[in-house]
Amino acid sequence: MRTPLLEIRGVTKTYGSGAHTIHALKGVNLTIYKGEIFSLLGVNGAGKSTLSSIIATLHPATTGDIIKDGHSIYDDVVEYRRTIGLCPQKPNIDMMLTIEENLRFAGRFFCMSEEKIKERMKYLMERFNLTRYASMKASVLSGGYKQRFMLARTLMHEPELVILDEPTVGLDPHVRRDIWEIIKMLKKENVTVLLTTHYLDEAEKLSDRVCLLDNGVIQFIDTPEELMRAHGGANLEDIFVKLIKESEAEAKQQEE
Amino acid sequence: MNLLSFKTCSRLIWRDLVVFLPSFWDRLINAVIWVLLTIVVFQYIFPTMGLSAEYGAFMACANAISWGFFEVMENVSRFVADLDGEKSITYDLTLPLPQWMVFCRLALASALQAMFISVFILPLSIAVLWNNFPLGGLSVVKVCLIFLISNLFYGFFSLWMSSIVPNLRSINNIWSRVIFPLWWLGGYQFSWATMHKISPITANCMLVNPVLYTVEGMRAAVLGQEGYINFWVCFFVIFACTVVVGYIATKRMLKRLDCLL
Repeated sequence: MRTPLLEIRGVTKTYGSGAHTIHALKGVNLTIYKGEIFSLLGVNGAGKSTLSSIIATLHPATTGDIIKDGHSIYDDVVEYRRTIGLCPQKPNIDMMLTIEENLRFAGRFFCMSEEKIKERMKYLMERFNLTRYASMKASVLSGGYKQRFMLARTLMHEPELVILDEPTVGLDPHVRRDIWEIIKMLKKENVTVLLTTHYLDEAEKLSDRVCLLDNGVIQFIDTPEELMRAHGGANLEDIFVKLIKESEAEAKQQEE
Repeated sequence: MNLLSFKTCSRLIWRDLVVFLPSFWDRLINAVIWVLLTIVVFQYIFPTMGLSAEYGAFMACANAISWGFFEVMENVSRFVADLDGEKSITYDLTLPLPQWMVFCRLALASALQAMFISVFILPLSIAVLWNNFPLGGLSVVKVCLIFLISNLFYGFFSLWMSSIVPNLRSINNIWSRVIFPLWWLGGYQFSWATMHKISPITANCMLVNPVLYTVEGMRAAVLGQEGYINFWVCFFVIFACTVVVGYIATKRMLKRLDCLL
């Protein structure tokens, strides 16, 4: 039996006010289970990054709640943050520090012991092929290595939930494959992964379940296999295109 | 929020100081050049034009306390550039501490950086002016108090500036419209009592400028109370301004970055 890690209940997000109001999320309800790779799909502006940033407590929800272990995460946000790791789309690394310094501080921010920090740093730098760059400033890293480093930093404090916001966007195919392997390894280690992605092949290959968001509303949540079976598509991309077209047609009809 | 949040906050400040360290010597050299040139001119040139023979010491006090004001303003540019570009602050905002603490620590780190540079200015000025620097009215405790609270105020003031500057292009407006008037009319080159003699209305208007209290407080602590606004008035006004500006700045930053309140 699957154990829920997070229950997202009626989450809405509204930006602006009056005529300029944007409803980025319109009452999202979903459950993320322990140890699964859960992907959020959708076109630009669908609300994927908004939802992942709310789950990461970077931004608040306008209404709704997120439940973890029977309690609202907002009851003790600080404690909740100890259990999650966010890897944003844009590298938010301290470019003035070396890779080693960045990782060391990441451990210290989570109040890890110096011994544990040393051990995790060694493990992560080896695992992400970062050892030879350890003493280099983060600014000299290529896009692929920056992304590897971002993942390593996210995993430094061994979070229960890893939130990956478009982790492979703009990367070379071989680097994308490397990142995929890392995500698969996380699953083997029973780490829950919330993956936001544009790449449907990525979602199809990696995810246990996928969630299609369109215009702030969940269109479906299911396993890739079940979706392909139910909608009769050869792959996730076919279903995605079909559903988005249907949604657009529906919206157009409503406007008329 | 618990003790661990404070630990995380202190480690963020530590990281900011590690990032600041490589530029320390450059910044110190800049400060030394400025201090040496200004006090030499104010002590040895200006008195020949009729100014007081102690004008060098008078200006040294202003330099020692004002330098921090300019140091922290550099951080405004850096922070606004980050908000415009990399947004590395988003990492700090997901760390295990309340988001308001992330902003307060920015102000504290700025204040510490300002102190690390400007702490050398007064001793250096005393060394350069030597016999021309009257030390009869010096109170080390008062100097420390006004130095700490003023730089803390500058730190939170820089956070407030960061919260109101919409983007990097608007930074120059802040320099011309806010920083320069506050500094120039903050008693940098003249005491409040002097202005009061010339124009009581202008002097009374100057009382709303918190920078005035930092400069007057420093002069009262170094040169003695006579001729300056009461030291304790200066201290408590700056303290109150720090609390008010800190509160407003943090609120504004939380709103600007759509943070959890």
